[in-house]
Amino acid sequence: MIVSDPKEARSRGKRIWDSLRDRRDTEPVSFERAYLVTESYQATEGLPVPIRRARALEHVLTNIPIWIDDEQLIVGDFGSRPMAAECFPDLAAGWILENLDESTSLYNFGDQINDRLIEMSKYWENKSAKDVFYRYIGEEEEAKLKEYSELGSWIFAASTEVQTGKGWNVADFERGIKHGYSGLIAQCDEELKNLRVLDLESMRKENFLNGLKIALQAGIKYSKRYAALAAEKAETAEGQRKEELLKIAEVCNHIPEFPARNFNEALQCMHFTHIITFWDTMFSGLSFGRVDQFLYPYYKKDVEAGTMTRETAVELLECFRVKQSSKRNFFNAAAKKALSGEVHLHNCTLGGVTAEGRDAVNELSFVWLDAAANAQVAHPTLSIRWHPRINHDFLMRAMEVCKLGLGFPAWFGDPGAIQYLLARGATLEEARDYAMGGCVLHTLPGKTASTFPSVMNIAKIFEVTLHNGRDPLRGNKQIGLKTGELHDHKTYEDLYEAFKAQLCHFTGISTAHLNRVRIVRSEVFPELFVSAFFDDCIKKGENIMGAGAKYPINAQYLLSVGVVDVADSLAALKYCMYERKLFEPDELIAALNADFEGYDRILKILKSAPKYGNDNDYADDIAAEIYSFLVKRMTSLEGAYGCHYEEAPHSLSWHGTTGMKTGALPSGRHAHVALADGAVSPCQGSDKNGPTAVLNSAGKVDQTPIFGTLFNMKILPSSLKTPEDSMKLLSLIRTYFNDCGGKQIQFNVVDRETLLDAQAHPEKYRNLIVRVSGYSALFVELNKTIQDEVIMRTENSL
Amino acid sequence: MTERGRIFNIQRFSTHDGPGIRTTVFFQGCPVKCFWCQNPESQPINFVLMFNEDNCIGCGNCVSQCPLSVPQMDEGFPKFDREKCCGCGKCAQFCPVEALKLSGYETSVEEVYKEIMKDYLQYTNSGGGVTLSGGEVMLQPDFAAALLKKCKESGLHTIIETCGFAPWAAFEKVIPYTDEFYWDIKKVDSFLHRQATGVNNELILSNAEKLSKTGKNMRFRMPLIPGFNDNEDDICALRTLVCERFGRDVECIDLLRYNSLGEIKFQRIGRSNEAPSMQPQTDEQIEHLNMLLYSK
Repeated sequence: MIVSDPKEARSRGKRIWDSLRDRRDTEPVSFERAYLVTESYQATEGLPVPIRRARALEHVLTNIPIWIDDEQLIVGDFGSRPMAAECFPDLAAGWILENLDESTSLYNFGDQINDRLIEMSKYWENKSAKDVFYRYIGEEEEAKLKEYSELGSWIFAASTEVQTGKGWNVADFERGIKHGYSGLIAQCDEELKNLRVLDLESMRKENFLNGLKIALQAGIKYSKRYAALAAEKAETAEGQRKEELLKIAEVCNHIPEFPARNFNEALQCMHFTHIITFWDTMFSGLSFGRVDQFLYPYYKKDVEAGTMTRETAVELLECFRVKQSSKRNFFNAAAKKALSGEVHLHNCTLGGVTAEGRDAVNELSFVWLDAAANAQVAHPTLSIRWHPRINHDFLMRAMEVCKLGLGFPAWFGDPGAIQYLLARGATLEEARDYAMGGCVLHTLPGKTASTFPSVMNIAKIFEVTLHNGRDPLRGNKQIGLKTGELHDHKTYEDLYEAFKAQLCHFTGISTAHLNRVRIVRSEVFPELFVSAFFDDCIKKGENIMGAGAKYPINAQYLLSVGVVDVADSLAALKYCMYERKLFEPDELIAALNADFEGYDRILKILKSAPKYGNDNDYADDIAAEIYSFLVKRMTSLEGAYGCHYEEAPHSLSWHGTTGMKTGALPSGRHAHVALADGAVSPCQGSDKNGPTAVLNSAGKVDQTPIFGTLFNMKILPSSLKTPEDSMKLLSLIRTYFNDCGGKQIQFNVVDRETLLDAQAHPEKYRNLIVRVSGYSALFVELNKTIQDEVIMRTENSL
Repeated sequence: MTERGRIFNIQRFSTHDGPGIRTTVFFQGCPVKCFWCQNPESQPINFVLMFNEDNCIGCGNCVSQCPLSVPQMDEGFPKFDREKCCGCGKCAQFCPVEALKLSGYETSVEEVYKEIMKDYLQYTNSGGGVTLSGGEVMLQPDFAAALLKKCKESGLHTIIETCGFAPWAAFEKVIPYTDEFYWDIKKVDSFLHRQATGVNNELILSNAEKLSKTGKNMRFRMPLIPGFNDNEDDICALRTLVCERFGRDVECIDLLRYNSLGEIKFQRIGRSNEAPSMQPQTDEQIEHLNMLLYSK
């Protein structure tokens, strides 16, 4: 059951979280992993990359400090101390050396700056994945990229994808649960047995498979360390805790080496696979897939046999959620000023349909919701696959979780997603088995390649278009094509053509860049361990980031930010300037350059123009047209390893950072504030005709060929109290998914006053969780731009 | 369909005017002048000029367009002599930024129907439909009947919200196309009713009684006005009226909390001095009155 007042009867998950949470503020970042990886790399110089990666992982898993939290039932951690963030110098290390001076440093390393740290960081000069990439492209190209990147005009993200782990994918966790790592090692052996080394390609395969075996063995060793620790702790423990520790020892001795025998073992195995992937390559957004499906046989068997109660299953999942929420992001944890919350996208998918197209909801689907309601932590986020015949009681329970204001579950529409996957070549059975990767991506668990997004600031490209290819925020530097000044565009169509030309220009550059990033990353920093959980990596002897996947689709995509801001801007210019001639182009440019200071008249005129999100075709059609253009453009561009680009706007927290480097827009948006969030959410506060009108607007965008869309709606808690209120919200969801072609919607059930108070008194709101984009985050850990953006969103009553 | 009528707003996603997700059509004009009116701009059957100063850019278009010199520029912004305004709407038509709007516009059944049907899917998925409200719907019974007929032909669920102050003949026109009536009872005592609203309530109550006898679905709603009717005596009188005279169950009564949203509207139509200033009832008060209603 859902514990309604957590203060009165705190669940086990809540108790563990409360005892750990405050360490987020005080725990110094950790370089333990960094030192271990460095030691290993120094000892393996000259060996093939997969072997070096495997040895490094083995060294980490054998030596990283481990512990078991009080009351915890699930073990395995993302740090060497509770709430400590670990460093990945093998991805990038230069920034450590750049931030050693305490007075100018962007990061807080505590008292860990010493000769050992400096020596370690220096080792990675020219060796980290980032360094290798920039050496490969050369200094001239690097300088050019910097101009486009977040360090320059922020047209597209040129460096983040090089230095952070990428992924946003769903591994087939069931594989480890069902076969055990020993079974996977046997699969590698089988492949090796039939392999005769004849050329470079076959030798690559041999190296890869040998590396993978080492990595899987290391995973088994890691688990046995926990078994030993639990057994040791059990010796001095008493009563129930003694039993629990002995159980942990038993579980960790058996899995992940051998197939899981029960629910507890299956869950622990899934968690280990996730943790080990993190220690290997960080892998952002490794999602769990349909956790109420592949774990259900174990749950059912245990409950029916009487060896586990439903309550125990809820507790185990609470423990699992707390463990997952303890993951830290090094850059966020070390940063001196707040960033965009810690983005962890370990999506769990619930509901949906079976291979035969029937409702897949079962008792375990409910158990996942109950555990989330009890533990009240942000991760992993839950996604519900909605379909027309989904169990109604399950929806009502999900609404109860919605009301807790945690920002999840997020809702996904099966009709649109399945249609999309069929169009991309999946079989009907595969398409029906999709799960959310990262925040919103429609992924085939264990079958599709890991993703690389090209984050692009479409609003900036529009700003540049208005200025004949110059960036007004950077001294009018020429950054794009010379497509003409605004006053040269005599008609709206002229202006729109110029904008499209700039879009083609920049997407051409960014995708060429991203292809290189992916190939270099795959060669020097392959996703080794996790590849064992994907078709057909073992068969091909290639990693999942590179050529290993069964389906190369979806691997690379455009993550466009600010399309709706551009639609509103274009609508305003068409309506006010081209049709009604209420001001001259040069006047507008002057107003934008002044951020409307002294141009009150023009600002009011612009604000009176039709805005996207009001079920008014004038602006909605423009948004739909831009998205259709982007889909056509991107799918025409080739990515690496046989994929084609996709369009998947889901903003994450990038609508904040891109907004900071984007000047005033004709939509009436001021300079340096956040852009519209998500994909089809209206600009903050511009939707005035209520939620049905917004949904109709969003439905005008052809979402079917889009790889993942995102739509945020803020609901006043006071309006979501009764079952009738829930029914109305469910009805909106049904209409959006079943009739409007919508694919994703999520709700923040929180009022403005609470958020404003939390901004003023963060100490009172340590547990306040809000939905940012595809993830929930602690509100007080967000920077002010994103906090303001969440506050600005229109509030809806039901 | 040639029937035309005057409305002042179409509100989508109405969730408090009947079951499910609904669209509410607000009719222009009301024979009753309640001092707490939520939509004072809807009272006259003529259209009323609404001026939102925040949007005004001081372009002066309204001054040059007005045939009666209602607006005059004053320190860069227009000031309106509302006594002279005939509600022709010329100024609003030429306002580039929608700072000026006419409350109310003439429209056709077809146009309103088209707007209603934008949320057709929402009605079918939520069990919602269309609600006619006002102003007072029954001031334009032919227009209302034509619109409701059109909606019924498409299978939509229909509700009329009424103050009940209209000739019975008007009700007879709409009854065949209306699934349910939401009937306002503001005060049972006729003298006090007149003081607060400008009209006696005998006609309202006799209409309600007649309609009750037809067996039509009805809900009786009392808007709770602080100090006017949110007391024990009025609630008891209401219950007696509905249960004994109308022969309906107490379950058909809704007590509606006072809503202060109307207060700012008095300002926008230049009637600031009439704007009430009252606090909505607390949860405890509402609960107490509801208890009273159901206690026997």
